[in-house]
Formats: sequence, structure tokens, C-alpha cells
Amino acid sequence: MKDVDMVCIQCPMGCKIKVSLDDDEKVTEISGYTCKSGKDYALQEVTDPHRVITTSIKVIGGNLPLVSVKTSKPVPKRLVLEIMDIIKNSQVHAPVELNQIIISNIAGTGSDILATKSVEKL
Amino acid sequence: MNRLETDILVIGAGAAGMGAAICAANSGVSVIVVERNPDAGGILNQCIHNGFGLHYFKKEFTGPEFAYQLYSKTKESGIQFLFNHFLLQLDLKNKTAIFASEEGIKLIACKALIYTAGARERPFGSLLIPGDRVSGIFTAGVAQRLTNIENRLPGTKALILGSGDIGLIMARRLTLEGVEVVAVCERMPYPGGLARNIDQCLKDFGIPLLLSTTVTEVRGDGRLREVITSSLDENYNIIEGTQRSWSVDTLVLSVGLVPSTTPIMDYFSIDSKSRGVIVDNCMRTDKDWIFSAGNCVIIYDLVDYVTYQGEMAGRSAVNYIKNGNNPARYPIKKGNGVGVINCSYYVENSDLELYIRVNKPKEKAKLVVRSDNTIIYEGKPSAFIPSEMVRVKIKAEKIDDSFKKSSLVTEIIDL
Amino acid sequence: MRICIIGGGIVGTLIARQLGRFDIEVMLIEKEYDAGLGVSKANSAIIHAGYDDEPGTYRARFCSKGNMLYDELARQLDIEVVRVGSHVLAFNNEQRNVLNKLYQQGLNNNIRNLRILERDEILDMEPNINPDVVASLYAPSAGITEPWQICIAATENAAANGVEFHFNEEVIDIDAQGNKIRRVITDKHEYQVDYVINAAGLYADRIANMAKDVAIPIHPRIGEYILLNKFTTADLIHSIIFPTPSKMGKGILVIPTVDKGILLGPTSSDLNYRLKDLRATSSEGLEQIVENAKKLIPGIDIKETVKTFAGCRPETSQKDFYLGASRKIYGFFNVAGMRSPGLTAAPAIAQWTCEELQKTYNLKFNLKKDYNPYRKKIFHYYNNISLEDYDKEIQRYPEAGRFVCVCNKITEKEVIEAIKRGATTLDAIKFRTRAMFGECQGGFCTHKILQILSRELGFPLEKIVYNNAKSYVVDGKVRK
Repeated sequence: MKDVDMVCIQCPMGCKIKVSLDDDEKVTEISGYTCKSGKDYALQEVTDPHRVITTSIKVIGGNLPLVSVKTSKPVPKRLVLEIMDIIKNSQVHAPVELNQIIISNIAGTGSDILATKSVEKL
Repeated sequence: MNRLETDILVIGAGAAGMGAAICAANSGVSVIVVERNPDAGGILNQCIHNGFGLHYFKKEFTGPEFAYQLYSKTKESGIQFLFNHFLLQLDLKNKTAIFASEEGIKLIACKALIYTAGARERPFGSLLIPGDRVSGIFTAGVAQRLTNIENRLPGTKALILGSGDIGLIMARRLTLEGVEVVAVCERMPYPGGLARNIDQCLKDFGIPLLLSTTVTEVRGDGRLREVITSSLDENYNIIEGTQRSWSVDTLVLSVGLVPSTTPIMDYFSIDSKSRGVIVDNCMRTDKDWIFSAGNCVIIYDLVDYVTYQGEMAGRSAVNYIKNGNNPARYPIKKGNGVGVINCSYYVENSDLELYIRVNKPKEKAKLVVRSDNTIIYEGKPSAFIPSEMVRVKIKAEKIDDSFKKSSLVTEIIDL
Repeated sequence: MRICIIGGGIVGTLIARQLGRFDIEVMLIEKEYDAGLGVSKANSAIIHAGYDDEPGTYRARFCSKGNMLYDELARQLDIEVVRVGSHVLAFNNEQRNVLNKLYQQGLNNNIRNLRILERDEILDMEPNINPDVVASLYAPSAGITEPWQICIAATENAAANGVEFHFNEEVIDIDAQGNKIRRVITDKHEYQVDYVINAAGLYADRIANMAKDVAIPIHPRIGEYILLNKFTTADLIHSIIFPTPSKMGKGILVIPTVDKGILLGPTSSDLNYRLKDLRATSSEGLEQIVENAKKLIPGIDIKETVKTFAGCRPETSQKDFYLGASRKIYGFFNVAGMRSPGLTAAPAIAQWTCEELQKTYNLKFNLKKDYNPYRKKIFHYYNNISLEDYDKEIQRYPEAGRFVCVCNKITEKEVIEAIKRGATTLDAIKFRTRAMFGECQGGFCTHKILQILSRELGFPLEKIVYNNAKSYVVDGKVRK
């Protein structure tokens, strides 16, 4: 039996959620959440935590050297460094459009790397 | 010299300015937005992390995406933007603002002005930290700009002073880019940023958060080489013998924002302590035709709030142009427990939207708005922390006239 | 014949300018990237009236004379010297007696218009002075300036008149075989020279050692300062406020700056000669400044601090300048020990050095036919030009309409002009234009200035430094 305390990161409310686990690490109770997405988050967080990664990718021939990007959905936290490595070694040619998929299905996660802004061609 | 005319002139194309412009333009008045940077969005453009827009758009965006969403709305509303224009002076008599740009001097006459210039970062020099004067000390915003826009790393090993949100965000950002972040130090006994940022930015990466700890010396020859931190007692005095040396080449400061008001301090009133523009709940300054909103009024936690307040300024400016009314206003006072509040006056017969920051954490308390002995609003009992603003909306009809004899008082009552 | 000045501080550069008037070969070697980065950069920036210096000292001889030369210097070099006047405050009768002595000494030193003021008149002039004041010694000829601007201006003017400047070059040896100056050896070159003027500030003792001259008895004395935000504190005082001096020196002052800010300081601690590179502030020092400054002006709000810094000045055992030709090494001329009031005295010392060189070494310098004593500063547009003229200027130079520094309203044109005039570092831009000198201390403009420097100089961002070679700003790329 153990309790895991966490702060919900689904929105800025920051609800304090408690997840109780039995000796087999099976979830027995979730409390403190104020919405369904909070409950789902808590469950995910104790089983296999996921995160959205936001970073930049090198742009060739753009009016800016970098384009900001994000994962299209949360990816397993354990893969964050692996994904960063792929991103660090990638590049994209200008122009880049907002929401353009720069890398699809990164590290087999089913999540794409999307541009979060546009970069014009120089 | 170039002369332009508009109904409403907005200075600053960040979230507050765009919010104001959209709201005004949708009421059918002409709007020009002037911005000193080459693009709209202000500091959002370098905030490439997510977490923006959950209130305003009911959807999570990164900073550049939030800026783009607002900017797209302005395009639909036919708002004219002038980028790379710098405010030189205001001609109050002729309701004209004068700008310089690489095209020349521009005089823009307006019926109402909305000032939404945002904030600046408190610099290292203001902290009176002793030691060598070296490179490698950055405010978080500068480090963020270098990393996210200029494609440059500030250093290889960093300590972060201040646990405000941007400090936490930069801890994660630098870590992901291979900079070793040794610790985040916070002078107060509680963190300055949102709880979810403590979780996502520090705990995820095992970065220690040292509370009641501050930087007490910086050393180096040319470039920063060593930072000394010390623990503080409950009165913020250094506890001798707690000095700790960190060998780092970078110090990132997240020690607070100051409203950007010096360009206009000669024209309308600012609060001498907070440096924010003094406004009423309709975002009007002490000049009837000038309005202001966003971080140049008070420092908000969320860009969503900034946008709402910009919209309020836009609505009020349109109302002023169309009706020319200048209703009476009455002071709103900070009572016990209130650290920051978004407006200083209440305009009679208007809905009241308050943004309040407590001055210290409260385990269980409630927010009360009253006039003398009449309670106007009473919030639900809850916990409060200074890093998370409370937003309260009170309908005009709930506010009886008793405040006219004295003032409205906001306070946090311990339970 | 070739004269080599070692040191590009206030005396070195003013001597270079003075010698540049003549048809002789003059060079100046400075180890830093820019002029005025040593003692000249971090001091009280005061043009003293001269009542403080005991008769018979070099200080008394050159201070009042230097003070008078500043008006012409300001006109010729287009630098700002503002005669704001100074008050030495007395809070009791004992201190009033000290003021009376200073007043007499001032009369002996030929200081004009000195007056002893009583409480009411003082508070009329400066209402924010501590009302416990009983009297003040008022010296209307005291002024303020920006010492680094003088160094920069003198360098530009001297260079325009043919003086050769070598920055970022350090003297490592001096060949004085047979007790006569022959060669100066630097980390880059070797120069045949006939005369060396030792204006090396804190390092003058090291230069004297290299020349095998007798030891110069100097040690560093560190002073810490606090600079307050000009936008919120400018109206606090309008003149320089001193406490009554004590054995410890002039004490901690409250000083208006040319840029309309307020400077508090300095502390005063003697350091071991090995610590001459120290420029660190200390918590004790900063506390001492606040405590003492508030005794003079109680309304000072330390929360308005924008910067703290420290500077070292060379102190001598005689508490006087160390001037004149070496008796041991022929051709070696010391202009050292430039303690307070070195800044004030510098123009007079530069003139004297020029005459003394000719006298001592039996030389006759002839004036250059095309000597030009004038230099123009970088034009600052904001508030200095009518809107019509400004508009025309922007049509010619679009960069005059692009604002870089938001707080001090500095345009890209001004930054580019500073680079054209030799600025290669962030500090060099700051000291020439006041960009990054305002209340945000570069928060909004450092990245823009880095880009402009990189573009104009044609070297990558990583190579740009704050002030010295080790002070790099960014450390490589995020994405290669």
C-alpha cells in the first residue's frame, strides 16, 4: 500500500491529487481531482507518465535560425531524451508553416513534431 | 512627417494590446496598433513552451501559437498594425502620439488611447548581490530569447535564482538543450511559480529546488565562475555557516517583473511603489481618454488574464468614444492579506472583475469584498498562495451603494 | 623621436591629446580593449572644486587649475561637464569648524565663490537634505562628468591628430639599457622609443619595475558604489552632497550623474598591492553606503538600485600624485598615483607633462599646422532634434529611426556610429551610447546589440565579449 501525491498539470488550477496503490502497484483509489481529465492524468501519471515536449528545430534558409516545435500529443516521459536527440539532429528548410509536420511518428510514439510558428524563407 | 487618424490607438501588440484591439474593432471603430518590435505577440514569441490559453481559448497552446491565434483574430477585424514603431512622446492636448520608425516620424491622432506596454525584468544590479561584475549573468527572459530565438546557449552549467514560472521553464529548457542546471534557489520559503511547473520542469529532471536560499556572492574573472548561496531565516537574514559554493558559468535570474511605465510616467499616473499604471475596473487611467491593461498595470500569472483585461480596456475605450461618459469612481483598498490587486478604483454601476494575489500563503482562508460593514462578495474557503492569482467576478447589481461613503475593501480572512 | 604613453586612462589619453598637437611621433599602448576601463571607469565622476587639498601638494597645484580647464575641454571634445555645485554638510559645531578650515584652505587655493551656508538656505536649495543639517560649505564650481567619455573623446581626437593607439596590447618589458629608455616590448610587438610616459594607473608600479626605475609606492584602494534609477530618483538632489571629511577621507557621497541618475558611494578600503585586480562589491560595503548616504539624504530608496559596482584607485603613501621624470632612467616619465582628485587634475597634469617633457629633456615641440582640437560626440536623437529635422534625418539614415535601447532611447544609428569609432565590446557600446545603461540594464537590447556588433564587425556572436577577453556572453549554438 502506498499513496502518490501529485499536482495535476492539465490546467493552471494545480489540483492536488492523491493516487492510492496496493502492494501490486495497482491503483485502488484516486481523489482530489476536479475534472475527468485530471483523473485520467493521475492514472496515466502513476502508470506511464507522458509529457508534451516543446523545443526548437534548426531551419535552413529562413529569416530565423530556429523554428519552435512541439509534440502533437504527450509522449512517454521515458522517451524524452531519445526524442530530443532526434530533434537535435534534424533540420527543416524554410519556409515553415505553423502546424507543419516536421517529423512524423517520432520514436514510434504516434506523436508528430509540429511547428508552432511560421518561418519565412529568406 | 506622416499624419494618421484613428478612433482608437493601441500602443503595444502583446496579448493585452491585441485583446483590446479586437474588442474595439468588433464594435465598429477604427483601430491602429503600434508595436516597437517587428511582430505581434510580444514576449509570447519566445515562450515556446505550452500551457497558454486554457482559459481564453479553452485549449492549450504554446506562446507563439497563442500569439498567432490572437493575431489571426485581429486580421479578421481589419485592424491596422504598425511594427518597428517607437513611441517618442504624447501630445495630450491634441490627443496625438508621436512615433519614430525607419520610415520617419509619424503623428497619430486618436479619440482614445490604450497603453499596453507589458513589463520588463528586474535586473541583476537591483539585487545588491556583492561580488565581481562578470558576464554570464542573465535575466531569464534574456536567456530565453538567446536560446529560443537567437539559437545561442547562455553557458554550460547554470544556477537559477528565483522560482517564478519563467525561471522554472528555463530550468527545463536549458536542461533539454544540454546545459547542466545545478539548482533553483528561492528566497521565499515557498515557490514562486505554478505547482505544475515545479512538477514538470524541476521534478521531472531531478533539479533541486532550494527554498529560503539566495545568492549571496558571484565570483569570476571576466566570466562567471562561482556562485555562493546562503540559507535565510524567517526574517530573510543570512544564516551564517550555510554558505555553499557552486561552480557554474551561468546565473539565470527569475526575480520578478516590473511594469513598463517610464515612457508614459509624465503623462498619466503610475503607482510609485508597484510602478504599474493606476486604473479603475474599466481600465481607465486618470486621463479620461487613456486606458491601460496587461502587465504594465500589474503583473499577471496568465496571459489569458492579460487578454481579458485588454478586452476590458478595448470595450471601455469604445464606450468612451461612443458615449463620452466619465462616471464617478471610488477607491478599492487592499485589506489584510492582499498583496496585489488589478485595479485601484471601482466605476459605479459596472461589473467588477478582480485579480488578486495574496501576500503570503494561506492554508485555509476566504476572500471577502466589502464596503465598511456590508459584505459584497464572499469566496469559498480555500488555500491561497502568492504565485496563483485569484480571479473574481461580481455583478454590478450585487454591489450596493454603501461603498460611495467610504471605499471597497478586499481582504483575505483566515479560517 | 618617439614618445610612448603606457595606459589609456584619463591621464594617458589627455596627455596623448596634448602631445598630438605637436609635430612629433606619439603612441599609446593600452592592455584593455578600450580607453578608460581601469581607474577612470569606476569613480565618483566629480570635478572637485579644490578646497580639500593641502597647500604645497600636487593635488592643490593641479586640482583647481584642472577644474577651470574643464569648460574648454568640454567645448572642444563635446563632452558633458555640468557644474552642479557641491555641499559639504555639517551636522554639529565640531563639523562646522572643519568647514571653516576647508573654507580658508579653499581661499588659499584660489577657489572662487566658496560660501558657508546656513540651514535654511541649504534646505531651500536642496529640500531633501537631512533637516538636522546646521551648515554647509557650498562650492558652485564643483561639477560632474562621465570620465569614460573623456577618455573616449580624447582618444578619438588624439587619433584624428595622428597619435597611434594600440589597444588590447600589453607591455611586458621595457628595455632601458644603460639607464636610458630604448625599447618597449609588448605581447604583440616591439617598439623603438625614446621616451616613456608611465600612465598605467594601478599598474604603474609594474611598469616602473620593468624600466628598472625606483619603486613607485602605490597600493589599491577600493571604493564601492550604488547607482539608482534615474526615472524614479532624479529629483532627490541636484548638487553633490558630501559629509564633513574625516581622517578616513571624503566619506560617502550622494552624487547626481550626468545621465540624471543618483550615485551613492564610495566606500574606502586599502588593499594589499597584490589585489589590484579586485573589482568586487561586498555586502558590508553596500550596507555602509546605504547607511551613510541616508544620513545625508534620508529619502533615498535603495529599492531603486539599478547597479552596484566597485573601482580601485591608486593610493600613495604621500597621499599625493607621483609625478615627474625619473632621476634614474633617462626618458622615463611618471604620471602615477592618480588618486582623488585625479580626474579633476588630469587636464592640468596633461598640459604640465607636455611642458615638463620639453624642459627636462631639452626638447622643442612644434605645433602641427593642421591640428584640430575639436571632436564631435555621437549624436543622440531622442529629445535633441525637432520632429521635422528628425524626419529628414531618418529619410537619409533609416537606422536613425530604429530604436535599440528602449530605456535610454538609443537608435541603431548611434550604435553603428560607436562601432565605426572603434567599439568592439558590449561595454564599449554602453560607454559610448548609454545603451544598456538604463533601468532594464540591457534586458531588452543586449541581444540586439550582440547582433549589430556581430554584423558590423563580421565576427560570430560567440566572439563578442562584455569588456575583457574572458567575458564571453554566449557559449555556442543550440542547434549547430
